[in-house]
Amino acid sequence: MKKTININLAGQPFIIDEQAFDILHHYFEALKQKFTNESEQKEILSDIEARVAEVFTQRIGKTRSVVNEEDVVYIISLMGRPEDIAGETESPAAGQETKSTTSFSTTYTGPAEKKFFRDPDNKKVGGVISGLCHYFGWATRPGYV
Amino acid sequence: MDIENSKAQMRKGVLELCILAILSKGEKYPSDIIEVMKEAHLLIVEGTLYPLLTRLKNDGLLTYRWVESTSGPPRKYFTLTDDGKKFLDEMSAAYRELNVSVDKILNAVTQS
Repeated sequence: MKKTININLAGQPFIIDEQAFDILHHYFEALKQKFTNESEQKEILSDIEARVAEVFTQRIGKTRSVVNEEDVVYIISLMGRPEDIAGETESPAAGQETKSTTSFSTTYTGPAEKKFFRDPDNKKVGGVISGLCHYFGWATRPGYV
Repeated sequence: MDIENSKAQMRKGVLELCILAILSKGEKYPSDIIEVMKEAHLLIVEGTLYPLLTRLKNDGLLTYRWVESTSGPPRKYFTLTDDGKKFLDEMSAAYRELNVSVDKILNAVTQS
């Protein structure tokens, strides 16, 4: 038996295992740090998010309803870890302000340190979902569980 | 010297050209572009493509339209703009010239 979490990816609702969520969340955080050019970051991340949603929809099919760890590992291998993307996207197009993308390296270390907290001030289901809203950088629309 | 990094740097320069070339055959969705690139062993991860598309679009070389999809969120279908077509023509010519020059030098070196 596993705990699940409701998330919104590109406007599509998904139910995801807690552990899988943790990995996916860290992945998106790492990507966010990778694409530091503000004018591009939002669009790139929402494009990636849309693709993740599409792949999850295809993988889940009609036989199950919960996104699991395997799905998340698969999407990361398909999309590439931030360091895999690095070599090809590091330098911004000519004429743009160069941010210090090369001065630090973003390493995706897998599920780790970050803790998820419930938000008791805005609770629907014990504050889990609104906790998620805080914790996600995404436009997480709380749904009803 | 990190050989993988050097290879990636070299590839980076031609990836944009390849995206434009693939789109010159008509409207495409990112996954279609990735397929063509994968077949040519050019692109390893999808994550590389999205930032490039965004930049090319912001530079006015590409444009897109939203198309509803039955298997997930709406998709962006990309096409070349007129500027993109011009850019592609110039870049392909430049690439061919460069290719000839580099080949000439590499061949001369390996034969000696």
